[in-house]
Amino acid sequence: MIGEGMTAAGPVPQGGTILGGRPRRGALALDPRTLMGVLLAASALAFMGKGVTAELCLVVAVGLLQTLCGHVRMALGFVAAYAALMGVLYVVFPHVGGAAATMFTISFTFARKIYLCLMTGALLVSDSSVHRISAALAKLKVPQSVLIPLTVTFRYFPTLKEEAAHIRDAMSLRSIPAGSRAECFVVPLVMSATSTADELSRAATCRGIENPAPSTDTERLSMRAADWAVLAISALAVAAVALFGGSA
Amino acid sequence: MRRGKERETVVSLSGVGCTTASGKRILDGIDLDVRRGECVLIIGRSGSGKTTVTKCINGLIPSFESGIELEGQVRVCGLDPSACEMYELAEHVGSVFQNPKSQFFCLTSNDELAFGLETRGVPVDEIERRIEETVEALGAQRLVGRDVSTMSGGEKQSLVFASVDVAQPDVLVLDEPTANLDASSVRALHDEIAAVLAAGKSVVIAEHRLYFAADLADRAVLIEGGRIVREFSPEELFALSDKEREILGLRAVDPAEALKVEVGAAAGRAAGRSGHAAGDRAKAGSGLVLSSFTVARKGMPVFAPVDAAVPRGRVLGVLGENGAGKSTFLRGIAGLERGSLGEVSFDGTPLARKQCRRTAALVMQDVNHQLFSDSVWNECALAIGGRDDGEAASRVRELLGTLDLSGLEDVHPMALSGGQKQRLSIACALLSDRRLLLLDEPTSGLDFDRMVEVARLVRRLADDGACIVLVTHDLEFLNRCCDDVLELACAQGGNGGAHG
Repeated sequence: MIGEGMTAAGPVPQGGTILGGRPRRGALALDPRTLMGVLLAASALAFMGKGVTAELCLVVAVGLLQTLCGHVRMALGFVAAYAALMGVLYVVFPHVGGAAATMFTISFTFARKIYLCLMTGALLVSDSSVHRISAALAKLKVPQSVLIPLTVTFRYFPTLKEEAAHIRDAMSLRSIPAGSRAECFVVPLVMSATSTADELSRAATCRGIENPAPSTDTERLSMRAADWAVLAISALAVAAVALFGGSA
Repeated sequence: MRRGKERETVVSLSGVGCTTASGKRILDGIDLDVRRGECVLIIGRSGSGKTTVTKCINGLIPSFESGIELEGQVRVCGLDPSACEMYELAEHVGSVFQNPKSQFFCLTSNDELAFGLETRGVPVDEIERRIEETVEALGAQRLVGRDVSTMSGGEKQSLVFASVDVAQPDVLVLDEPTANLDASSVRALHDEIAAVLAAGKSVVIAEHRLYFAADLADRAVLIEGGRIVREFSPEELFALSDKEREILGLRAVDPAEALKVEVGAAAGRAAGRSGHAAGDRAKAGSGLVLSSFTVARKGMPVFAPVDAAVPRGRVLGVLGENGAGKSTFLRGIAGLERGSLGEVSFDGTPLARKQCRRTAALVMQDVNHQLFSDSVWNECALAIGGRDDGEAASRVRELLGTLDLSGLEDVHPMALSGGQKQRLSIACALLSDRRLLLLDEPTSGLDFDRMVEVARLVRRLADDGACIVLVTHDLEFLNRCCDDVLELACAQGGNGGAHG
C-alpha cells in the first residue's frame, strides 16, 4: 500500500510547454496587458455621458469580446443581467414609485455606470492567472516593491480560507459565548497570519526573491495583431463616445 | 557510502557560536566541514541547536535573526553569509523547512518550480530544460501541472524540495523536513534526496526521525546544548542499542523498527463485527461505539465504513495512508462533517451530529487554531463556561497542576511551546467535561523525549476514564500508548477492518 499513488506518473509536458502554456479557450487568446487596456477604456467610459443605445452597443461589444475569449457563459450572464437591470430601471421603477424605488434607483444606476468595468474586470481575472497578471505588470515596468506584496497577498488567500475554516470548526466544538465569538475568531487568525507571513518571507529570501536582476517572463507574454486590434477598437470606442456619445 | 572523501569543502563552520539577545548561548564552538557530495545528518533533541546550525549555513542567521550574535567563521561555497546578500547565497544554498504550507509562492506547481530561476532572470527555455531535468532525476512527474492548493502536505513538501533543486544549489539544507509527513511521503522525499546526492550535491539534514535519512548519511553529528558532542558513522548509528539511543533522545534508526506496528494483538476488539466486541460493549456499557460509520463527500464515502468500540479507558490508534481520510474520520466523530453516515454513540446514547460536537473534544494537528483567549487562565475559564471563581477556580488550578502548566496562568497561549499548547487544549477539553478525546497527529515533529511524554499523558488520561481516539503516522508513539489499532482503508478498497 505504502507509496502507491505517490509514484503514479503524471503527464510531463514536452519541451516548451511547461511554462506559460494555457489551454486555449476561444478564438482569441489575449495578452493580459490588452485586457488591462480595455479595462482602462471601460473606466474612462464610465465617466462619460452616453445615450442608452451607445451603452447597449458597448455592453454587447464587451460581451462579444468575452465570447471570443471563450467565456460564453460569462457573456450570456452579463448581458442577461444588464437586460434585467435596464428592465427594472425603465419598466418596473416608474410604475412602483415611492421611497424604496428612489433608494434602489441610485444603486442600480451606479451599477449601470460601472457595468463595463465589471465585465472587463471579470474577463481579465478569469482569463489570466495571478502569475500571468503579475508577469504582465512586470512587463509594464511596475516596480518589484509593488509586485511582490501583490503576489504574496493573492498567494495567501487560499491559506486564509483554510485557516478560517479550521478556526470555525474549533469554535463550534467549544461552547463560546456569543459576545466573544468575533474576538475568538480573529485572534487565532491574526496569529496564524503573522507566523505564516514570517515563514513565507524566510523561505522567499532563501530562494533569492530579493535578486535585483529583472525576472524572467516565464509566461512568454507577447502582443499579437489581435491584441493591437482589440486595443485600437477600445480606443476608437472611447473617442466615438467622447465625440457623439450623448446623442448616439 | 564514502562519497566525496577527497572532494572540496563546500560548507565550513569553524568555532561558530551564537548568543541570543538575552545572553543565552545556543551554539558554542561548532566546527563542521561538509564536502561536495556529502550528506551530513545533524541529530539531537529539540532545542539542542540543530536548527540554529542550519540557519548559520543558509544565512538566516544573521540576516533574519538580528537579535542573535554570531561569532566564528562561516564559509559557504566561498561566501560569507553575514557579508553577502541573501540572493547571492541563494544561488549556492537551497533550504527546505518544516512546514510545507508556508514555503511556496505560486498557485501552480510549474510556476513554483520556475520561481528560483525566474527571480534570477534565467532565460525561459533554460528554466524549462532544468525543470525537465529535475523532474526526471527526482521521479517527480506527479508534481507537474498541479494546482498547489489541491496537493497534500507530502506532495507540497516534495514540490518545495524539487523547486529548490531546480535552482541547482551546491548545498541543500533541510530543517526537519519530515515533521509533518506520513510514511509514504517520507519515503518519496528520501528517494528525492538520494537522487540529489547521486547528482553530486551536498545535503545537510537536521532531523530526529533518524530512520528517514540514516542510510543516506555519510556521517551524523550529535548536538547537545549547542555543542557537537559526538560523531557517528552510519554503521555506528545503526549499531546503537535502543537504550543508548533513548538516552541520547533519538528516534529509531532502522525503518523496520520505526515502521512496525506492535499493538495488533488487541485489535480484534476494535472491530464491532468480531465476537469480542459485543461482549466488551455489554461489559463496559460505556465509551464510543461506531457502527457502519463513514463520511460522505460529494456523495462518495471517503473511507470504508468502520465498526469499532472504544470503551472508556482505552486508546484507539488510527492508521492510514495520506488521503485515506484519517483526519476526516476524526472530524466526522466530532460532528464537523455534514455527510457522516452510520451511527456514533457514546456511553450507550446514539449521538446526532450536533450532540457529537458537544461530547467530543478534538485536539487539532495545528493547535494554534483552537486557542482563543489572551491568557492560559482565561482560556480555561472560557472552557468551563466563563466562571473562574470558587470551585471552578480550584478545579482549573488542580488540572493545570496535573498537566504541568502551573505557573503559566498569565502567559498568552501563543507564547507557550507546542507541547504546552497541546496540553492546554486538552485541559480545556477536560474542563468542559468532554470524555471523548480525539487527537490528530499529536506527535508530529516531536523528538523522542517529548513523544514519550505525550504517550504517557495519553495513557494517564485514558486511565482516568477518558475514551481516546488518535490519528497518527508515528508508530513508535502508537506502540507506546494505544490499545487497539484501526487501519482506515479507502472506500473503494474494501472494508476498513482492524489491523492484524
